[in-house]
Amino acid sequence: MRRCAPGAPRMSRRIYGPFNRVEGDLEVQVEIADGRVAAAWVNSPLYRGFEQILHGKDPRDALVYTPRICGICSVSQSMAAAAALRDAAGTTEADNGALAANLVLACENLTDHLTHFYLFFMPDFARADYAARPGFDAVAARFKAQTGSAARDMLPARAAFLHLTGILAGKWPHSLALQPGGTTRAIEPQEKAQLRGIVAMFRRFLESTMFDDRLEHVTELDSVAALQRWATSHPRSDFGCFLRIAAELQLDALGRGGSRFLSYGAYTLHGVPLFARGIWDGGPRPFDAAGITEDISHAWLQGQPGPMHPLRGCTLPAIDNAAGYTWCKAPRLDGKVMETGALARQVVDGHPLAHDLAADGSSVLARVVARLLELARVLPAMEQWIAELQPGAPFCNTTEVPDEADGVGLVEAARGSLGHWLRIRKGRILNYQIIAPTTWNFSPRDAVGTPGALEQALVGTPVSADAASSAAVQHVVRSFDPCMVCTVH
Amino acid sequence: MHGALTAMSAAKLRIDVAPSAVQGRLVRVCGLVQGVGFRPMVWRLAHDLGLSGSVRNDTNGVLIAAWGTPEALDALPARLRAHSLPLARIDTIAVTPLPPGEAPDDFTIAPSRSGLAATEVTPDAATCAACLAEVNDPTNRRWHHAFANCTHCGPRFSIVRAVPYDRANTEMAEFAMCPRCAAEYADPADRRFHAQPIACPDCGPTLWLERNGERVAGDPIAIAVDLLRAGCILAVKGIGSFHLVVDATDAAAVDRLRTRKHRPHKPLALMARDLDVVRRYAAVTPDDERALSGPAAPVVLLHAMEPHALPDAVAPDTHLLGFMLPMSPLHHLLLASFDTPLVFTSGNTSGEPPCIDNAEALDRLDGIADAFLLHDRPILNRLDDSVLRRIGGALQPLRRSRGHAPGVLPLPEGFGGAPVVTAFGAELKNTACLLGHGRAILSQHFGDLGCTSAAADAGRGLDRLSQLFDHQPAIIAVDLHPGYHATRQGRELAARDGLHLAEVQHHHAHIAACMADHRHPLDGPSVLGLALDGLGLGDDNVLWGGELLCVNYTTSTRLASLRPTALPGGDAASRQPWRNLAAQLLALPDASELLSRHASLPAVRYLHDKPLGTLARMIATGTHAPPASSTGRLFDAVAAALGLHAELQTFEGQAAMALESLATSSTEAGAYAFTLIEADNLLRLDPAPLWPALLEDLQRGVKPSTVARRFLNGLAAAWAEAVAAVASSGSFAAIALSGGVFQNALFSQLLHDRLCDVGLPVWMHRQVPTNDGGLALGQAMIAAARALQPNWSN
Repeated sequence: MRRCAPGAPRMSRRIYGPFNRVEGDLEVQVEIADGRVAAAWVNSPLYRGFEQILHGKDPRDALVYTPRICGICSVSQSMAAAAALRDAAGTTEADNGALAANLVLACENLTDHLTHFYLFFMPDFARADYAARPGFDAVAARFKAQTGSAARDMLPARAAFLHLTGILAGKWPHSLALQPGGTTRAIEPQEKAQLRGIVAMFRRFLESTMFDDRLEHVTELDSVAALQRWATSHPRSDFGCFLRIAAELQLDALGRGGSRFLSYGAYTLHGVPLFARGIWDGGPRPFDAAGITEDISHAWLQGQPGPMHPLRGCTLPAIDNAAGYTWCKAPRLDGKVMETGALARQVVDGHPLAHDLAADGSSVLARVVARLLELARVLPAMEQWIAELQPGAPFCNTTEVPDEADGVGLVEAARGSLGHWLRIRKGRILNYQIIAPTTWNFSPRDAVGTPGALEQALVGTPVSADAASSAAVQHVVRSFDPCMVCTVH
Repeated sequence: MHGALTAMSAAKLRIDVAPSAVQGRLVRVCGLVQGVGFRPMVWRLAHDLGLSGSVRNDTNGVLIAAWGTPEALDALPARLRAHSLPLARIDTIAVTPLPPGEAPDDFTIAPSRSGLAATEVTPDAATCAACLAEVNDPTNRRWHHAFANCTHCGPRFSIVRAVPYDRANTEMAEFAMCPRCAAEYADPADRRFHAQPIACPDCGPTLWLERNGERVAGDPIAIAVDLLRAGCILAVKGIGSFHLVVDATDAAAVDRLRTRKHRPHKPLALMARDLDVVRRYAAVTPDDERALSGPAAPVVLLHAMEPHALPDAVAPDTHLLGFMLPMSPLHHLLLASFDTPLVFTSGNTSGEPPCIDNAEALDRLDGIADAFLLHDRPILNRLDDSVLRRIGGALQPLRRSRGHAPGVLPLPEGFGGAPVVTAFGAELKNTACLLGHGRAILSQHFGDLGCTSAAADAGRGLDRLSQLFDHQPAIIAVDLHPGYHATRQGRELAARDGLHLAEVQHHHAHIAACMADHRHPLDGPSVLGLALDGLGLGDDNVLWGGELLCVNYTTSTRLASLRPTALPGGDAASRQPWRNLAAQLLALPDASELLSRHASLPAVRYLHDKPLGTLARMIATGTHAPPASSTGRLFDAVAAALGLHAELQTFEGQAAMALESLATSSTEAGAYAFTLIEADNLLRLDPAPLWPALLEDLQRGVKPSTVARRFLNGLAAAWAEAVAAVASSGSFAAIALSGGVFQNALFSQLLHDRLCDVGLPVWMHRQVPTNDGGLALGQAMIAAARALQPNWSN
């Protein structure tokens, strides 16, 4: 594939990629000055074309196709498709169905957070680059890829936790149980007890291994200072281990991004989300989805005269776009770059620890801590949702999809805000556009040249002159927990 | 089987294989592969794939020598695994090359080789749909033949004398095949190819009806139907044992059966023609349907419809009805005339094992049965009916026998090199277990060994099973209790043959059985084992029965226990629930005040007619009043307070069963409190606070069902609290529940629901009974695990 490096080379340039331990294909090109990244271009070197596949299909087919975009966040794709169809049909979910869908989504999101921490992010600290650091041997024994003891502890806990999705949605990934009117799998009273048991087992794992503390104590941490005190008093926990490393390596100063955060609102019941919907731009601001546009000026795409709202937008490949350097579009809200993900959710929701961590903008530390904070905050909510399930009552309302309608489905995946925009004409899909979380975070430059969130966050990252790969660049990239296959859908 | 014939003619159109492309391979298949139609299936496959060679049974399973193209040979293992034989189970397929030069011209089924027996003898299987269709087809030569069977169904273990499973080694050896049966037996395309018990009206067993010592002329089935309609009691020789049969809708006949059999209360099993009949009397879930109509044809305990049209005497004081479907053509033919159920209870006098022999039945059942429906195919291995019950959302066996025995369980990881062990089991619901060669073989149900004939029968049954599986133990495992017949038999054998004797604590064995049921590996982390039952001898020589243990396969440590209470009268306390109520109340510090405050309560008035003073002195001096932390006796005490069988239980668990049925009708959420006290590193659950609250409730006229439910809720909550309290003290793989108390589906569910919140997997039994019928497996596992310890010395 032809690569278009924008601008003339002024200083040394380097291309990082492909990246292991991220979902999908990714390449990052950086310009280095004085041992630091001066500018970055993020390339998603894969085109997939789900939106074209959906064109002309029966709208309900979206429930079958869109989950296939991704093997690790298929539930969030299903939920967004179901929500878009629900919006188009103007119907509601059965109460049990809404609870079950939340549980299944939470199961996937928490599983993803867990996987990211143990299998994707922490193994970087067991790299040979760090062999000289104090305490390296213990970190390597715990977290080294393939051989570390943490994976042996975490994988059975993750597998057991996913049984929840097995009970409520038949299988994971790519369940067809998530429907506009709710879920298709009604449960028996004994299964409700089983669900409680599964969540209790996962809580036990988190409280013994990840935190060495009650989840409720973790959610009560309200400032960076409180977090530091907690880290000192919980040295045996894996979270404590990370916080110790983060302090040594000053991960709070690494991967500094903007201060604008977006969250569509997560885990909604009766119209009220568990984590608030909104934006943070120096302060809380209301969110209006009408302000979302996608810009294709630096993507290998064509067909849009300028930035367009996804309902009107299109995704047509154009390998000859000379200004293009990625298959990823550049989403903007009211023309601005947004960071999305667990940190954004927690900041928008007003959690004091998240606010304190992101007071001067996002960072590697803030992104990782926010994920673990979510693990601690969501699991008790899951316990509550299970208690509210009513075996015997309906799980799914019948939904008739109209022949002419538009629909929007906005959900929060593990990695952030996921939107599906759907236009139905004559009973068929006229247009289906998807903006995935990593599309926001790994956005290329827009028409006015503003870099995307990761492109901004990479600036200033230290790069040693000789290393073929830079640990710091890896930390920054992975701190977003990218999902590249979703990005380019 | 037209399908099979078509397949064979198609197979004759063989693709000619270029000689240079021919390879040879030896394919060894292990598992449940003999006596299930496996060789004919291989024969058909070989013809489909254009392979030449042979297939034979040997003592390790099925051995296939095949020559053909590499593609065809490559396809063979997958095609074998994709088999559709209802009774077969493939465990392993191993392939090794053979020299290409020896390829024969055709594919043949070779005669069996005998040798060391490692292949499984299969359980008996209920009539398959194809055989049933033939029996019901007036144009078929097996029309109304009571003994029709094929490779997919029919008697197996009940008639097997030795392995390999060939006709000469079964009770059918004396029946010479007629030419037509012989042709079917020899035709690989026929469903009856090598069906060892093959039979037809010309050459098979004969059915007759005997009354007053004489054979009655005429159609025995028709006469039997008439007799049943007239209210007579019939003894029917079935698969594995005799049954006593009456019309279940005839209250007088059911009463007569109970009186003659000396079985006043214990629920009677029912047989119905089909599922539609069952559904008129009981709620049937899809799982129940599968079990009822599966090849094992067990008794499944079902929730009775309220109200149903059967007399109370069928199953007094329980909300359950035990149903089974016909297990052989004989039973299908008998039931065809009834659109209501028949009582099918074991053919014995209460307490004895059921009869299997014609002469024995005519002698022992004389005076019970009015007539005998007999046949001349002998039963070699006695098999009671298997019983399943839905507990905690899944069906569990309460008794594994006909259709399940001999059951083979693969051993969990780590037990591969275990020495050969025979475990002798418990006193009640006795079964034995043969462990070795990577598997555990569970015997049929031998029953309550307190009965001399049952004990003798168990000895013979175990000998025969050991012969069938060529099982020569190095270690004998027995319960710690020296008074068990099984323990004595095991000790005698160990002493006689100079074998190592492993003594295993009762509740440790219970939990180990549950661990093995869940394939917990040998070196896996410990589990928290909650063993609740009647009585078992503890490590400290005290009777236990309400124990929370920290368990691995070699050791068990007691973490919590029910407070011990005296059993005034010893064994009498197990039969007379009032003794336990008295002991519980007398143990309270304010006993006399409480008794006088509630003097007007029927339960208290009842106690005052008993020699309470004597009991108190017995308890005080420890005279014939051993203390026991028994959960079963606590259930008895509560049942007695509610007036349920306070005076006498006519069968084990009667009072507790009545208590469960009563509590099931309540949705009460309230619970009686227990106190948890820690003393000497042991948590004690003390039921003392329960009694004033319970008596107060009864005084205020609270419904007995509510009281029963509050007790079960309270006990479940107390154990859940105790488990939660110790669960954080270590890292455990799971909470394992075992013991007879977990036959109580309501209590199991209540406890399971609460234990879910502890955050550990909760294991209940799945394939092996939770009662003492599963004990032998646990004994064998522990004995094997100890022998695998590096420092073990024989």
